[in-house]
Amino acid sequence: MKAAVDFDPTGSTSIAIADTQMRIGEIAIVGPGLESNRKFVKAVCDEVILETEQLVFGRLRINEQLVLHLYGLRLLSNQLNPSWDLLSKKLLGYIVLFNWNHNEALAAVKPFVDELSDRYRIPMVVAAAVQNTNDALPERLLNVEFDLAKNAQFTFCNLTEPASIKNVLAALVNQVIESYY
Amino acid sequence: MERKRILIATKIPQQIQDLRAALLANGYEVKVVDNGFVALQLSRDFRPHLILAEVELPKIDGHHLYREIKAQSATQHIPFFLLSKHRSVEERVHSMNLGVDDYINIPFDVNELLLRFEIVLKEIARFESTAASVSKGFAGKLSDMNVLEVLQTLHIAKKSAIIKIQNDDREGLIFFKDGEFIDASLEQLDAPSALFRMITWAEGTFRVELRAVDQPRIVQNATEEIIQKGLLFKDRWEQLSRMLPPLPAPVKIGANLEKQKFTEEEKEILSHITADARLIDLVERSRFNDLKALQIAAGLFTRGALVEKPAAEVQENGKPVNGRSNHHHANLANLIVNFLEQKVGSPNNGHAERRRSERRRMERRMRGRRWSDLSAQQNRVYLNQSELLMIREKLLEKRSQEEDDNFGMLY
Repeated sequence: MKAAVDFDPTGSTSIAIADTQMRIGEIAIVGPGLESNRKFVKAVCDEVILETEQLVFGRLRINEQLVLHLYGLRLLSNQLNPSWDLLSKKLLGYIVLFNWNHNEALAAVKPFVDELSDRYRIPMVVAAAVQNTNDALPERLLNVEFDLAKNAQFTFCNLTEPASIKNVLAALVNQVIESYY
Repeated sequence: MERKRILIATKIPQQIQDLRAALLANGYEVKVVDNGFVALQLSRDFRPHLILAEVELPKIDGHHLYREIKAQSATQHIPFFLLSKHRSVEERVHSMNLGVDDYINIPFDVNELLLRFEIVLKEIARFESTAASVSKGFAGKLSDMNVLEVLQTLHIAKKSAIIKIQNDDREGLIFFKDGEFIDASLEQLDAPSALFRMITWAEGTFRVELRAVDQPRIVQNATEEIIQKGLLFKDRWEQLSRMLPPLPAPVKIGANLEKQKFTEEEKEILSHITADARLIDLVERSRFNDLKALQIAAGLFTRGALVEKPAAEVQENGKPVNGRSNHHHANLANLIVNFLEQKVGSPNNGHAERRRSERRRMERRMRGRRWSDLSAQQNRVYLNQSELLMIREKLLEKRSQEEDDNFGMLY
């Protein structure tokens, strides 16, 4: 049996969490190409914790108390259902990755980006994977075509360069900061 | 009080004279007809509460009469007893297979038949009473509408109601009067603790009974304030929970405890460890409020003073637990794996179809809700601003360093 408590059981928990817990930011890397998503996660993570045919889950340590968890998976429009909604609640945001060199990829990914954006309204970065970021078209042209929502940003990414991938992650973190703080 | 009406169809009315007399003596209204056709007409006009019909009837026999009555929405609810002189098992089985409520042999014992009538009619009255009470409220699963959403609904609608919340074998009550939360009860807990524990229940059911509430107001805080605190509480509860093994997971003391120093609060939590203790037990048995207890437990997990019991040990005890995670931080990964496995599923079997059907049903229901509102409410940033800035700085710092390195290699 418990003793009576006052009506403020929320206490000062957040400080205690920071002191005693590893703090985690969870990010999903989604898009039509699972292999690209895999490359993204593996290229940047210190440790790949889980890899299956459908998912790669890696950890990127920021410091002693902070860590990023990256989930690379193939997610399609028809999978956005209440089950995924619950999972989505746990995420800092999405990175939607697609292959810039596939002509059909941009058209294929657009409805998905729209749906994801409408449905979750959480920070999102749409990243076009290219061989060389210098070959990419100016971003302003792409933003017109994509007509991205406020919670989404477009960028390019070279999957062979960890720095380029971190740039995408940093863009997402920026989005998070701008959205919530 | 309305008298119960009994319709009897028999080709030889004299054989049920005693029954008719007994029914009238017991306050029933009785009509006796000698053919199936008239019985069918009276089933609508007389609106009987129960029909007793002989199998062998002129014009429409008992079996056909039963089918006709059950085929019409106005009469299909009426309990139907068949009466027959045939004592063959085949005839009885055939009649019962049709779905009749009872099969009576002639001759019969009047008192026994009266008793059977009473039992059926009471059962129907009880069912109707339950249905009526449910119709003055609503019910559902906590996975579809959580406790706080129920409270918000009643508060906005300014309703008086008693809400029953069930989770496994536990049941709690929440009392609302004119849209204000006034009391809650669950086991031995005081009202605030009872409410907040129920807020932590993600699974279970709720039943809202809209009715006048005479309960005195135990909780004086404004309902808006309670709901706000509830939201904050739930948020922090979920935040902590996702860093821990599942709450029903069995736990045990970790190794090398002698090297560690514990606060009095930590000792209190550890004192509740038993051979079959689960994480949720430590939280609920402690003298602290649930959130504080979970927070202390989280600290103990981080230090390794408290660990999840390995699956092998649990199974040895004969108490396997579902949804266990060996890696504390892999909870979301496990959820995603489960999610993906459901999607690629296997063969198109009945179970898979049921799952798809359930998903479609949920989606239809959710479509009616405003996604933007839900998202705004549900998406939480679990990291604070300084932590996010730290992450960004680290990402950019490494990038700059790598760019410098590349620059160095070129020159």
